[in-house]
Amino acid sequence: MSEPLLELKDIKMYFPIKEKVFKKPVNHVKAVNGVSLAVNKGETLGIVGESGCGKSTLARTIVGLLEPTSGDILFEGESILGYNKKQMHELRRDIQMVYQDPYTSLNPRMKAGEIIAAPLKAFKMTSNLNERVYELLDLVGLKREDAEKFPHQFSGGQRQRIGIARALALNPKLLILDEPVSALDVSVQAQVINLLEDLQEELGLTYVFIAHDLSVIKHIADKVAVMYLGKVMELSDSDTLYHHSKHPYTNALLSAIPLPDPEKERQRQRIMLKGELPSPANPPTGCIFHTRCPIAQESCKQHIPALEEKDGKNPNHQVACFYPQETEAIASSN
Amino acid sequence: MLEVKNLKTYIDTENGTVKAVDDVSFQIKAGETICIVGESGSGKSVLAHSVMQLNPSPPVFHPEGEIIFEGKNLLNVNEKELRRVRGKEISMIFQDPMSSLNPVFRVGDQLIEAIRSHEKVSKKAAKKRAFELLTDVGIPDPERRLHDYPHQFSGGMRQRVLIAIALAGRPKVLIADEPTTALDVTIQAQILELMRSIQKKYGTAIILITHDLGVVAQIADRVLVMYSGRIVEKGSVSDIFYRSTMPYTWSLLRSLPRIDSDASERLIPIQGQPSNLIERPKGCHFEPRCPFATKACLEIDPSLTKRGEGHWAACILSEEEFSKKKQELEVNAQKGVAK
Repeated sequence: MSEPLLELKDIKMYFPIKEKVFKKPVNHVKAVNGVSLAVNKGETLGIVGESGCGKSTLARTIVGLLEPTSGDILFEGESILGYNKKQMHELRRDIQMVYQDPYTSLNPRMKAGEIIAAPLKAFKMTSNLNERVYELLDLVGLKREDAEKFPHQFSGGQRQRIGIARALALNPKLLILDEPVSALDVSVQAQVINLLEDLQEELGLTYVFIAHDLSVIKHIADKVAVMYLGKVMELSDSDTLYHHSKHPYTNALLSAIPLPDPEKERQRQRIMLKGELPSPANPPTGCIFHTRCPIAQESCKQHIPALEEKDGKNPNHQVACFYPQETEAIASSN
Repeated sequence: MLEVKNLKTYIDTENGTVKAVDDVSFQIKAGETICIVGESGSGKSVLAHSVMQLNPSPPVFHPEGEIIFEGKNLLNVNEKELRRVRGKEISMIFQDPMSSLNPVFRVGDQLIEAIRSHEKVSKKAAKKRAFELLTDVGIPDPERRLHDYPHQFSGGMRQRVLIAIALAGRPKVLIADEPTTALDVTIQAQILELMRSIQKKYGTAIILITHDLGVVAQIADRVLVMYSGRIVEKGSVSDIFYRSTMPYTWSLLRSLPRIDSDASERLIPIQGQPSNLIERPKGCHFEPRCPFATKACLEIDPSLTKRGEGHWAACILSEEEFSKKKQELEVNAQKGVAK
């Protein structure tokens, strides 16, 4: 078995809600509430969830843009939380990020070539700078001449390619991709997904791929974590998750996605979730999903289900629910 | 009920005239749902705004076309008449529920304003109707919610409020411009369900604009596929999904990541970028990205031709040629995988 490249241990990220006058924290928004995950070298971990589930906050803690309230982050077996500025700077060479919005994440006054060269300059890797920029443009499927163009001269998909080239400039080991295709047109999404898959194979990259779209995640991820209100509800290899999900939330998410196939689509039994996402400042007691869960029992209100393996068959499949069998039965009856 | 005939919507810009909607025709009957699908820049939103006459003019103008609603051409009626139709007969909901409500007025007041602008009723009667509307769109505890401000509602709840406002004049046609794009999937499912139940109850005709083919599959009776300002294929929902004879529609469907497919399958993207609306190529606009393009496509700009009852497609390939090319492509693709 290969070594985990990145390990998250019981990460909590709380943001204080301050009182008006003395700025004393009166409560906390529990954006990430005890998440433990690991990604092996060369693997893709997909993180899915609806808005407000804490997936982007988690991404920001991994790249060091936020310092978690508690927990530990190990990169290549070493805790990175105690790193000083210099060590952190070095670490950024290995961990890079691609952002959601290709329109706001590129400086409009810089040419594409300058944008891609910026990380190289920051690390004083300026020998053969132009050659490297051309190499990177080529890698993401852009032309040499494109180095002289400004971001507004590119379409959305091409801009996202520039963002990817910039992230790859320093030969990182880990790429954090925060909704990299959700701002793109459907016809272009597939291009970028394929590009990311090719790059992973060619460069041996490890991905943490964050998205709200389960169908995109399915195509790219080896392992998928489903998050709800700051917690991981289900963690599994992607095939198992899509065919034998054991968590009612995952089931509801899967059933809410409309299939681009009218006959199948109109025969499906849809699991409708009641109500809306509770506030992460005052999460429900017990199982945090019980307020919207279609099969919640009285005991779900009091006890918190742990994220653990349920049937002894597949150690990679972990579920935080007291009724995994019932859930799977409902899922397969549809 | 509503008929759009040869509509052209052009926009003057510094760089030339953008032909945002170019010769589009369609009609919709009561109780029917039409979906307009296309990528950004395909002209689908401009088309919807044209029906409501919401595009600022200038720079927008209509060199040709008619929008006929109940026997009248909306392009010729005066502003007063237009105001009567807008909201009362044809109403619209927008993509972003966060910015479509006025943040400084209570939701109830905004609803009552909408009701009283369509009908001469007392404040009290309007309030009663506002209560009914909120109940209709499934907002819990409507009595109390009438007094809340928009920021006290979540995204899904705000979209419900907007639907309630759109329904205030008991419209015959409801135009929804990407109503669920800003929402999470579980909430999207709730909103689509709501739109369907409203249609059943009131017989409203719905024009839904979306880029999500899953939503189309779920809700549409008929589909218009737009590319580069034109309708390139139209037909019943099964014509489009199972019997498409237009390369763009077909490749778009093929390129989608789907939860019911094999995860290890590689996606088959459409090459290239969406086209530029100012410098139109001479021939077919999809030619640069089309997997089946021939030399003739550079010359001939195909118009919609009939492919079946109510099924039209804009491509120079006949049905037989198209299915032959499709097979060739599949065979080649499999060879490619085998290598």
